Amino acid sequence: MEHKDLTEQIMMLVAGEITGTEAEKLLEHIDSCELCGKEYRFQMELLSDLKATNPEFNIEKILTASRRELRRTIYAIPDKVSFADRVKGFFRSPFAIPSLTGAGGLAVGLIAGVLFLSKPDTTHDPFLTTVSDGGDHQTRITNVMFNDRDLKDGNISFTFDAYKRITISGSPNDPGIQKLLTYSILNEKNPGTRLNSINLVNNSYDKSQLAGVKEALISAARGDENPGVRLQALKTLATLPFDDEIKKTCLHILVKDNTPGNRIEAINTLVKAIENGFKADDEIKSVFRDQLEQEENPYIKIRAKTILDAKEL
Amino acid sequence: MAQDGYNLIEMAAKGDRSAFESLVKKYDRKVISLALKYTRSEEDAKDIYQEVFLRVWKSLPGFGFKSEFSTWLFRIATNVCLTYVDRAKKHRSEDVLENPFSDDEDDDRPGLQLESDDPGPLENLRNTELKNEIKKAVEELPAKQKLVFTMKYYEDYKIREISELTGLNEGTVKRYLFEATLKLKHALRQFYDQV
Repeated sequence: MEHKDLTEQIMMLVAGEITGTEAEKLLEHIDSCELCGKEYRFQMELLSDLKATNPEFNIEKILTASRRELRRTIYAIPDKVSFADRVKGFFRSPFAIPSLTGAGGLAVGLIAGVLFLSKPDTTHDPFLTTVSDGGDHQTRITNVMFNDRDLKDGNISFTFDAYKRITISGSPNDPGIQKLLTYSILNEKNPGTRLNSINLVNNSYDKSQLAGVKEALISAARGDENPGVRLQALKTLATLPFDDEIKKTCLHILVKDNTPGNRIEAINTLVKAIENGFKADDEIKSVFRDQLEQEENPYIKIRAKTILDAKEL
Repeated sequence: MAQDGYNLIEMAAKGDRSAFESLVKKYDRKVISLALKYTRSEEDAKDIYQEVFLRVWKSLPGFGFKSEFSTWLFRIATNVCLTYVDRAKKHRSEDVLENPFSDDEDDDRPGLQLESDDPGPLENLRNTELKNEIKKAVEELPAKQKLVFTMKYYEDYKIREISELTGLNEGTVKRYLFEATLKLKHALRQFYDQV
């Protein structure tokens, strides 16, 4: 290696970024090389002088003043108004009735024109309506699609989606509640809701009752797009009796998850299980050996190495 | 992310100012520390603080938990530091050149705290000159190098953390540190026998 490259390595060493055997080898070379020794002493002295000239401030005083000023600014900013509140505000305004009357008339005219004046068309022509009330005030209709608008036979036919907003409450032991939580963990678009569902599972259930949502937790830990949701799902799984499914989930995360914190949680879960008596089979050993070569995070490498070096293996 | 942290973010995103204040208090110490070390000016650091958290307040509804909140917040903080125009920079440089023995006007403490009890007048002179030269050399670094250098040597972040918080890849962070060290080496060579 060129001395220029070694200068950069010495900088990494002095900055605490190189440790262990790599550091020992570099220090051995520094002891034997005049040029590198000079560079090392300079960098150590520079670092010491930098630390000595680290500017000192009265942080508490500055923080107090800054927080006070931020508070004034935040409370002076107008409230954030949600879309729903803006809509409610519009309906309360004096312009609501004339605007809606005009828009309604236009919509009726358009619909009448399309229905009665256009040529019959047997091909499907999706025609989205706004949400409408089907008489039962809680039922909503959307995605109306006209299959047949030809009135020659006296009939028209269309299909639509109908949904109803439901409030449900009950014991977490209720299978219906479990199904809902499972659905929420797997399908909810909002990651916060998925996270809340997992936390609810973690806090509300005896471990013996989690079988119904275990599959959802495994799926979330492996594949949720949000790293925080994946982590929480894994932590909840870690509270269950460790089995082959959970082992495979941990190994999948260790190999595939991009978030270091999740990989750390996965290896911690595996190591704890092994220390409690779970057999470290060939699959685990193979992944751990791969981690020693490919993993960037030193903590994970150390944990994997510790298990591989253990006598009982 | 702990449940209470998550709840705070959700509530703050919906406009709950009290929740936002609690959220700010969890992270603002590190933000102000970075701003102070980067600008070496109390006034500039306060301005950066305000701008960072105002941006956070306005952007919070769009956060969406796509990353760790702290990572997202510190990305904003490092961006604000990089784009911040130091209005007083020119005046401070002139003060240092004209009066190299004066204390830092932003520093409440009496002066440089030396390690030894009585280093002697020559050593004191060397230390004061060195302090000013280091400050000047760091100030003259390009913005991104200066930020990375500050985070590494004054805030003790690891290279991986700097990479995550600034969005720069690790190779670039290392290169910036190396280039900054070379510049300091050149600027301060008169103070070191080994160079």
